[in-house]
Amino acid sequence: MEQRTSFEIQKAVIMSLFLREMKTRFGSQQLGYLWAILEPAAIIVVFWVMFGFRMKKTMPGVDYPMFLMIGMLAWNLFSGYVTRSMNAFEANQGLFVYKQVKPVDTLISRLLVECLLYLIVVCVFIIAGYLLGFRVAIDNIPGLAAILFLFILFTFSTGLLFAVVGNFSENFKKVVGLIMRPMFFMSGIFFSVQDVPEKFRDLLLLNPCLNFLELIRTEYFAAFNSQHASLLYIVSCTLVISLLSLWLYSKLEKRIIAS
Amino acid sequence: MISLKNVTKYYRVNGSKNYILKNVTLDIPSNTNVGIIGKNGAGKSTLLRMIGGIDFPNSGKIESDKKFSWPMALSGGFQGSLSGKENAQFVCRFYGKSHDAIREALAEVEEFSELGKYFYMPIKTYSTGMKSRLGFAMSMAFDFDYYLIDETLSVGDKYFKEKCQKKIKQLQDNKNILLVNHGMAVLKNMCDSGILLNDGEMQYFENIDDAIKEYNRI
Repeated sequence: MEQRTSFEIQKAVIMSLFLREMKTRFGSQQLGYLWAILEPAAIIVVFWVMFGFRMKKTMPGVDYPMFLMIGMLAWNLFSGYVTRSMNAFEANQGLFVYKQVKPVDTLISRLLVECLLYLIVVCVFIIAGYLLGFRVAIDNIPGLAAILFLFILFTFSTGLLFAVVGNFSENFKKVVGLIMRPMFFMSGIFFSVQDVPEKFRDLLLLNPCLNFLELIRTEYFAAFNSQHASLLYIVSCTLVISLLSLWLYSKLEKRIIAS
Repeated sequence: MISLKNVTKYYRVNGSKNYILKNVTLDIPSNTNVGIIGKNGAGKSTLLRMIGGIDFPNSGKIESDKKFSWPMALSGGFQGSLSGKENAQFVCRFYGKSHDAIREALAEVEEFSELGKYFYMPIKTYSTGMKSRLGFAMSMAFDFDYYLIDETLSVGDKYFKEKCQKKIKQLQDNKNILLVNHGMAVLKNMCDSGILLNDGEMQYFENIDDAIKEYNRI
């Protein structure tokens, strides 16, 4: 075995973890990919039936099922990733007998798996939407790519933060579990913040996920333009959480490996 | 050579510090097979894990320019839902083996572990003995200077134990082992020298028999 740089080692570790995760999640007997499509599809249909008629009036030019789809998938990526992250280090503890495998590598590889999965799922939904006769065209592709990149960075750093804290606190996991449920209804999956009464708006906009969803839709739909979400706010959130999670992780990495 | 420089390692138990190593400075010479002896809880596995780079002293340093295997222990290192082959493949990949080298290594692991059709079945169907057979065979597919073995030679059937011991004997021409084992016969058979851990102190004996004698005295 020749000497490798630590970057080369980390690349090889992440790549092999990625392949391993793909096999476990989407191996021949697993229906993981099917659920990633069916679950949001079912929820989209429910909300479409409930609010579809009303939304036609408030959002002219945007097909509500497509609006829902963007919100649903973005939320699922975020909430699924950070929820699973809380147990990620514990679940992968066995791998830390190999000194090449750092705890953060398991999070990076899973992020890659999730992103690949959601890319495929989004394509499936766009094709389905097109076949059903909805407007599926993306308004601003570079803008959408940029905001999605920021969103993925935000998802990753939140996941890392939750993983580190969750590794040392069972109560933290319970609290996050409690918060995630109402967050589903407050992140703008099935509504736009402009439909919310003004007195609640500022409070709801403290939620970075709501801001992200609004801005992702602004880039996607030509006819939708969020008046209220703030790019500056989510850039700051992402920056703060990234720095905080990396700092905390680097302080505690050895304890996580040895625990 | 493995050098310990002012190494202190402790665990907190109910607020008080339970010392594994207390400011230990010691060199373990090369080209000798070392058995690690000590009572339960003396820190044998912890020492092995620190040498293997997956546990860390509270202060001080452990230095060596040798290549160490991962500490082979009875648990850990496998993904239950994947087969033995897939697990071995995974480890080969991140150790940076090329495509052809991986194929060769897998054939070697399959042959040495003698798992038969289990090699292609999920790890969760394995017994403890089968897991340790796989783990041992996997580490043998790599070119390390030191193989760190923690009790994996204590499980499994007599036939496979003997096979492992024979394999290690073959290796010992240019490779060495660091072995944690409760069986004194195995230690005597496999090791030349010994380390005795007791109450935060660490003693090195050039002859394993002396280490065992001292261990029986305390």
